[in-house]
Amino acid sequence: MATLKSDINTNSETFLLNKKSNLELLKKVEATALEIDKGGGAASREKHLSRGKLLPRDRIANLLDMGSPFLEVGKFAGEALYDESVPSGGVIAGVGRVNGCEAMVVCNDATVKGGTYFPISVKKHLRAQEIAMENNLPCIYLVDSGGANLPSQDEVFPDRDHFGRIFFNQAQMSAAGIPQISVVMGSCTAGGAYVPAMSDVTIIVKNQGTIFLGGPPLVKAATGELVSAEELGGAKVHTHHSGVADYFAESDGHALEIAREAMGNINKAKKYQINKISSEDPLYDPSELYGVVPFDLKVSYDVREVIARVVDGSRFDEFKKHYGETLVCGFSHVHGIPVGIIANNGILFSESSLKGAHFVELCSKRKIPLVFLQNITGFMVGKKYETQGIAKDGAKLVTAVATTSVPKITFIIGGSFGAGNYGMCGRAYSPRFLWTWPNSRISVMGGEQAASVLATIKRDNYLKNKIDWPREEEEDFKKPILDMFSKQSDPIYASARLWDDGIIDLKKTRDILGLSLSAALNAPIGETNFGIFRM
Amino acid sequence: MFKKILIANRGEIACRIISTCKRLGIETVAVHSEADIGSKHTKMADKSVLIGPADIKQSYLSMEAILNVAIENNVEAIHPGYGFLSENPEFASMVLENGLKFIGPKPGTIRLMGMKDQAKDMAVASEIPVIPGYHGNIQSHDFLYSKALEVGFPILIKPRAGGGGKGMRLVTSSENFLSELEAAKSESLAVFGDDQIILEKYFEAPRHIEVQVFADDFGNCIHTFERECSIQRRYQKLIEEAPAPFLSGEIKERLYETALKVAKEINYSGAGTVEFLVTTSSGDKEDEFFFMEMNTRLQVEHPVSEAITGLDFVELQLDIASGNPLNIKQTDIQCLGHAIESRIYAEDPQNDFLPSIGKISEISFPKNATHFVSGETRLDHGIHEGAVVTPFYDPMIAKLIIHGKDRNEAIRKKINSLNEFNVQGIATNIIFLLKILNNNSFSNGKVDTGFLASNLDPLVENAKIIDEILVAAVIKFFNPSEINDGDPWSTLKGWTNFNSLRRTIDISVNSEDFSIFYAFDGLDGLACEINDQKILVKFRREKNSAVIIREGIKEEYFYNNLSKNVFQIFNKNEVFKVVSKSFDDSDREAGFEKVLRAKLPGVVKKLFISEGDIVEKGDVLLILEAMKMEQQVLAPCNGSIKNLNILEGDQVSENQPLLEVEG
Repeated sequence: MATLKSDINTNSETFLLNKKSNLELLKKVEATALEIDKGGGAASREKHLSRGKLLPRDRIANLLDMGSPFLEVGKFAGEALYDESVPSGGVIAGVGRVNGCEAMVVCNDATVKGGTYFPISVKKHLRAQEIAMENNLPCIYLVDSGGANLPSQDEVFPDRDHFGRIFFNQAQMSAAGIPQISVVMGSCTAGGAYVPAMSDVTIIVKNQGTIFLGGPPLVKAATGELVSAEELGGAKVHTHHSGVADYFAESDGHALEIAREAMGNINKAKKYQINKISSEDPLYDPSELYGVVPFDLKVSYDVREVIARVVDGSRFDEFKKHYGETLVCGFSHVHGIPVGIIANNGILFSESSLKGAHFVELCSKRKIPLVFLQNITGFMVGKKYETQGIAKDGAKLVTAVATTSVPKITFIIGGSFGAGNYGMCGRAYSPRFLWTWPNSRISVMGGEQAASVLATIKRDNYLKNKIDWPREEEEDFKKPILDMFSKQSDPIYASARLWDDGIIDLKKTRDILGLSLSAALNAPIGETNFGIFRM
Repeated sequence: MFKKILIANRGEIACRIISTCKRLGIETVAVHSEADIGSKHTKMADKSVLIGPADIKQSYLSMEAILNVAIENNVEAIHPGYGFLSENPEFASMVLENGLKFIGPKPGTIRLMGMKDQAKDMAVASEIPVIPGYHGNIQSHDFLYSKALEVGFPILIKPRAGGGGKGMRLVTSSENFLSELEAAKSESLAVFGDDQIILEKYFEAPRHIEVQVFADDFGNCIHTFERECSIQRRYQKLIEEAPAPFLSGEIKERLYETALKVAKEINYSGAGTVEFLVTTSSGDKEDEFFFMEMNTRLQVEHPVSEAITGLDFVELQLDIASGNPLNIKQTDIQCLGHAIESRIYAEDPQNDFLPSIGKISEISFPKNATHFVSGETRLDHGIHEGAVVTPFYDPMIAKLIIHGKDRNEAIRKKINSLNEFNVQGIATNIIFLLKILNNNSFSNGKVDTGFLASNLDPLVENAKIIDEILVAAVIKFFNPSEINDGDPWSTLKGWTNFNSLRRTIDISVNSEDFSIFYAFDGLDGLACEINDQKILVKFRREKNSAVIIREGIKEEYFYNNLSKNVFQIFNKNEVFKVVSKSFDDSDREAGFEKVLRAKLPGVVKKLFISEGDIVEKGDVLLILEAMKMEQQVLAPCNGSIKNLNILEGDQVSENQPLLEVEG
């Protein structure tokens, strides 16, 4: 297989400038991540610890196998989304190995508003379940939640993708043979009680975990009965009398140990459907990506320089290299897993779209996972191209990407604008995982294009009415549009709303891809049945 | 020479005897108890016969059972080894009565030497020096006082009925003698119901030196030099050497002469050992020696003498017993170099030398070790991988004998060999032995029978727990075999999107509790937080060890798994016992009840309660016996007995749940 050769001079001014600015962007993201990891702040952490409970992230660490990676999803959920701070959306989620098997861990953070569900918490919980369903990952719920956040009940309770969907998913997954395990380490009140109740296996911690449909205050109000939380729905009640829980645990540590053992009894072994080979580091250091990637999205560069810093041995067998050159397609391996890579190297034309569709067909037939490196301003516009039928060629790519059965992993490594987002497997095209770089931007079109389009329409209106529109006024008109686009296309803004699974460090792209692919391979790759390609 | 013999023993000595028989073409029949099914000696012998249950009274001490096997298998002779029936005159007689040969002296000789008083009287009659004192019937104060003055001070007053040092008084000068005598007599009367006492001269720091002799039935008698056996703990020898260091040639000659005299006096036949107490020279006072007793068997420590003489003592024994005259003369025997033996026990020196019972999961022997035959590095043992050390027999699992050109070389090589000897699954005294060998007094040859008693504290003291030990304890839980599948979920250790996740681990090291936070950084990096201090290391986990590099300093730590939650870490002649907190099924089943566990492996000797009994806090529930130690298990609280899952006589392992007391 051909080996990519880098043309980058790591001592050049451009490289150093890029590196400086990309590291600055990263630092901002890292600082946010550090703050998020603190959860609900010092006072609530202290209170949590004083009850003899482990902090949520420590719970996850002790649940996972020693040294297991933790591929966190939706870390930035809820960031600056509400007036109040809801770090990680109040629920931590991610994939990790438990007793040798990759699993989705969903862990309430009781230090954040008592672990109650904000709209974004529900969205994140559902996204975590979606990942579990698509990739056949057992779910382990570390439950410590006061249930729905009552002030936001209209955005949490009634709709299809609201709170009730969590239990619907549990039932669906249980039916599909995806184990559902709950560890009750705090309260599970009202609707929340259904998380453990709907699980295949439930563990409950003495003096900490409680499960009931109505808590002591509600019981008192309803019937006048005076009862303590432990008597009403504690570990002994549920493991000895009600049967709502299956295992009695002495402590958080004990409960996690039991959960690990429960994972040992799921009778599941990962079988690779792909031909895995041994992994090899890239020839070029992934941390050089900081200097490779231009800090200005408008500056074009060769995406092969990125591929060379992601794939095994920097080996890349490029497909149709000299046809439709703005879309780079080719075969490679990442951490020993075969992949088909589709990467933007400019604007999409008819040829590049046809080439992309062809390549997706190839990978689908061979059951090779697809990786999208998305940096796209859109499809080419203009009379010539419309006449040529760029819309139907673009549609072919979109059809292929939408209907393929192979796992798709998408990285937004630059701009993600317009229909390019569709053809390159944006969120709506259900990639198994979607990760973004700190320098990325996502919006229907670029801010400047949007402002220009709106200004042009306005200017045309003025012209129709023969009104003069001074240049300065036009600038004033465009400014708020530019600001809005700039704010809304920021990766943290995007990630806070779960338009992706998280912002990542450039140099970790290779590892995150390996982990995502390997996690995705837990689900069998089915036969693809494409839609109609408009010819 | 014999064609077929029976070996009435087990373990390393049975193996050692079989080894010589094999070389000489003698067919061997071994015997074994139920506990020894499949053990090494049964496999080495041409045939092995089950003679009874684990209990030695019904197996290795059952004369009838052993004789039956001997007769049924048409053997010509029985070799008793050491211990068990080796010095039992009745057994020797029975063997002879059944027309077989006993590989050892005549029954009369065994009986005479077994009666310590008679042996002493024999010695006195033959003008052989014995420890001065008085053990007669005249018990008046005046008479005893005059005897004490005659013997000299310091002197020991011992109750005649006593034993094991009980009621013994040391009197340093004549002024205190009468008052001490009065006190000793009344104490003896109170404790033993007999106020008769004996007097014995007290020697400070004497040495235990013994001379090996062989005599045939034709009046030939030779010695094979002396052995120094002063390194003892509670009368159990631990390290033996030949020849004795720092002992003048002149006194050695006198010892040999005396030993031969004893042997001749009693018409000895076979292999024997004459034990002497030798005073350590202080100033210009000459060394004195006194006859203590004669052992009428092959001794545990015989290989050191084999090493320096190049002889095979078992062959000599077989030769003599089969009626041949000794085929070597005294002048043929030379003393070459220096040999040191150390006994390797399955025991935990840090835990009051409690025997360590369990399965030997893995053994690696010292490099180039020969087994049962003399060589530079000789290892005699009766163990194999998968063997179980049971509480029924002596916990000695091996003897390591090093032969060097001089004592210093032997010590040096011994340290290397002990470091190469790795036993997994049970605790051993190897580190303890290494500490003795590294002790300056020992290497300077300043050994006496008080050496271990006076040096015990530093030898068994727990070393300071440095951070690296805790880091090594964490790495122990890291399973290197997991990483081989090449999946990124296996290889990207400790990987997270951003900040690392901290795992916690609760362990106790030498009974001190630690809570450690740690996070992996790739396959070879580890960050630990211990008492708010951050420690960063690089490491490499090997099968039974970990190499840890901290601030450029590289060090290897070795592991020994003792049970599911207990392991040891060895480093620089120090040993650390790590217990990890873990939850097992019985905790889970227990729920709200209090589970009592065996603190050490052993046998349930007495059970005082049955299921459902109501007990009060502090009641004795049962007695556990491990080797000769008894442990009472008390009720931790008031309550009723539940889930009693043991019976009297049951063997229990460490940490095994015994019962629950539901409060």
